[in-house]
Amino acid sequence: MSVFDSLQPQQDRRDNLPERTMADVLALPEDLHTIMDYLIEQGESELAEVAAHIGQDETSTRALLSDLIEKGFVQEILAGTKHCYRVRLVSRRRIRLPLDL
Amino acid sequence: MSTIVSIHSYRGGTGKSNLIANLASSLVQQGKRVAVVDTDIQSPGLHVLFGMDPQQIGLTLNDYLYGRCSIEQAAYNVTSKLGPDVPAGGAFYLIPSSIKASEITRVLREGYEVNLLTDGFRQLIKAFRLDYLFLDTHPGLNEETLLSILLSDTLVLILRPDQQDFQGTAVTVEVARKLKLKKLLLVVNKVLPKLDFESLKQQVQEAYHAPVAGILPVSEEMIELGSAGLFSLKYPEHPFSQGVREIAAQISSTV
Repeated sequence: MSVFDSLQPQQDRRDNLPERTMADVLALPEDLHTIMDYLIEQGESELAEVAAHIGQDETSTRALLSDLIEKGFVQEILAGTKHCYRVRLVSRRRIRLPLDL
Repeated sequence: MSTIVSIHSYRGGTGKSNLIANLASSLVQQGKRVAVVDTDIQSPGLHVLFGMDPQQIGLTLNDYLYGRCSIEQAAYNVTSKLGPDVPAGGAFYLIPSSIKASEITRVLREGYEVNLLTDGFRQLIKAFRLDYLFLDTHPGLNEETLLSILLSDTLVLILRPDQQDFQGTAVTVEVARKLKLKKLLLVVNKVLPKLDFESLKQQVQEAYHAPVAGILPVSEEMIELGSAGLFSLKYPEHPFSQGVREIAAQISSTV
């Protein structure tokens, strides 16, 4: 089993996540909404930065971020050697329009 | 420190693009470094005010969003459109959206990644050392509009003295406040000159609990110009142009 095989379930899970837009952000509970606003403005942030912004400890913040990841709003990325969080949003949901339009 | 300003309206035809182009010009004429992004990708038109022929526009915001160029490559320096009197240091950039049907339908079909747009704004501010980044938005409330509002330091909502505009603006104000908007300014445009501007201003301020930055008159000269240029350059002493300068001053004072 190659390393790519082991990553496949994660990739499949990501592919199955719903596309999220700003309208979905508006419907989030206050604490999650606040994190999303911060991440959109910052581009990407580390756990400690998010925790400082919302005024909670890192354990609680990690739980909130995990919730956002699970719901498809946030992704964890490696920026250099730092683990960062970044939003995963599309401008709008894809719609079916004829390709020749 | 740069300021992001979104100009938005609930309904179309309020004079949003005209206001944004003239406001941005006013700030450039004060020596500020300003860029305007036409984020109304579904119905772009800002380029027309700068005399850009759709056939001659090269790279656009769409090219950036679909990975065909950097955001700086889609920016056009339009400072010279303001004539020779721009103070040293003043600069004006326009990032147009594509007017090609295939590009517009692609955005409608596929959308784009929000991170790309926000990264692009940050890059523009850094690369051109901007004092102000203006966003021209698509009218109404949709996902893209919500993003523009969220990213803004100042939201300028423009409305006409019209019952549909009044109701729609109330909805927009409510949503903007949910997005924890930092600063909201209202502008009433296309007002009949015979109306009492001060009384209208008071009524609007009380209705929305937000400051009115300007009341702009409807004018035959504006209709005659038909978006073929920047009104405040052609008619600098017109009440509309004076109103624009007052709004620009209020935007500056919010920094």
